[in-house]
Amino acid sequence: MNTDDEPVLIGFVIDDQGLSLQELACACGADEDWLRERLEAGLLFREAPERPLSQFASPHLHRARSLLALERDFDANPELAALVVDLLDEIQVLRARLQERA
Amino acid sequence: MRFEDYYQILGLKPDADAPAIRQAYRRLARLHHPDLSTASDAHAVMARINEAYETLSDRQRRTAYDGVRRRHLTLKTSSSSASAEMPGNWKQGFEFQGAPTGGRSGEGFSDFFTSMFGRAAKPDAPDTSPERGADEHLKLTIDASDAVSGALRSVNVRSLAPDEKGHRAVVQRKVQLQIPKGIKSGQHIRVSGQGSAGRGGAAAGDLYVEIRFKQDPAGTSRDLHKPLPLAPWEAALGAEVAASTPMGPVSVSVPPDTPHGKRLRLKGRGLAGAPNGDPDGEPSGDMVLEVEVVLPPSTLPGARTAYDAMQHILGREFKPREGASGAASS
Repeated sequence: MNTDDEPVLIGFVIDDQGLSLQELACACGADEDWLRERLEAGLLFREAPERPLSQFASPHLHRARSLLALERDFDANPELAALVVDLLDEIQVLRARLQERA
Repeated sequence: MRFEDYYQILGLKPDADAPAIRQAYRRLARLHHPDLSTASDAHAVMARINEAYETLSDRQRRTAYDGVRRRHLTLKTSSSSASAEMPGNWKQGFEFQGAPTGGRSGEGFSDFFTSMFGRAAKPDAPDTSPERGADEHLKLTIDASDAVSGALRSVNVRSLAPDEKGHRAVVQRKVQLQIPKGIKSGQHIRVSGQGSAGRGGAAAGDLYVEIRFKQDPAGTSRDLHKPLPLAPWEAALGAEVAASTPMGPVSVSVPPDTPHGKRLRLKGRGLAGAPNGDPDGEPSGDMVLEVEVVLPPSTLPGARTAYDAMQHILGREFKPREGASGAASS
């Protein structure tokens, strides 16, 4: 198929408009209560925001999906899953720095 | 279609119980998780492990799969060929109720899995209560320069949709995705209604595409990387050359004796920082030009003569395979 025949999809960057709690839960395939509990426990952020959030962006979606996958695949408790996500993020940042210096 | 031995993938015997399956999956997930493994095919390996686990950890799916596996092994034994390919009638008498969940960690399923659990699913019952379709996710790695002016990129989207018989099946379609200008590595694009189809007339889910830059997979940098091809004399003698940046063309001073691979950094010429010059916002990144010394082909008029002259004049002193400086050590 020629690329000219392929439909063009136009979306928006979620960080520009934000996702509601319900939309974020839906995007993760999680239920709202699961997400609200992690939000209230401060597990959805690496550093807690100064004021409660009502809109969420890409880092929250990425983190919520990672938490969910770890809890589901490894039966990890939520705090442990959050710690693993922190460490994985840290590895990514360090790898990027290493690549930059190579 | 190639037969997938899910027991072999997870390193299990066919009589493995549920705890053994879970334990094998966790052990392999730790080894091959794409965030931890440095192997270039880690995503593909993890996708096969996920697929095997998705099948064997679900009782109904495992029963269906075991039937197909037994038939495959019988046919393989009775046939002189040791091929792993599936015969044409491999699914005969097979029925499975339920479709794949759409993938673990956003990974896709093999054609084998899709044929078994996607296409064999029963059609929606007419009284199915309305239920919005699931949101689907995929990752797309682009060049950071695509984010400067925006671009169209081809992507394969997998989602659940009713086929011609009304069965919910995994369908794959190729689309062009508009990359919004100014997007950063790690951000997500949301495309409404492009996820899996809804049930009972409900709306389709959305598609989320996570963008990663080739040069900055961690999404920590606003720098742009670009090759800067130079003629040997420009690299050796120094030159003023033109380079394009998001802010327009600039003249770059190449210092004499610039080696191949050297990075020249143009401060503040990368991806834009915070809009409207917000002083508290993120600063603009840099443009990093990586020097590529390009040799003129010897077939160009006069090139052979010039190379012969260089060999004659420099051949005694310049020995590139000896010493870091490229100069001969005496």
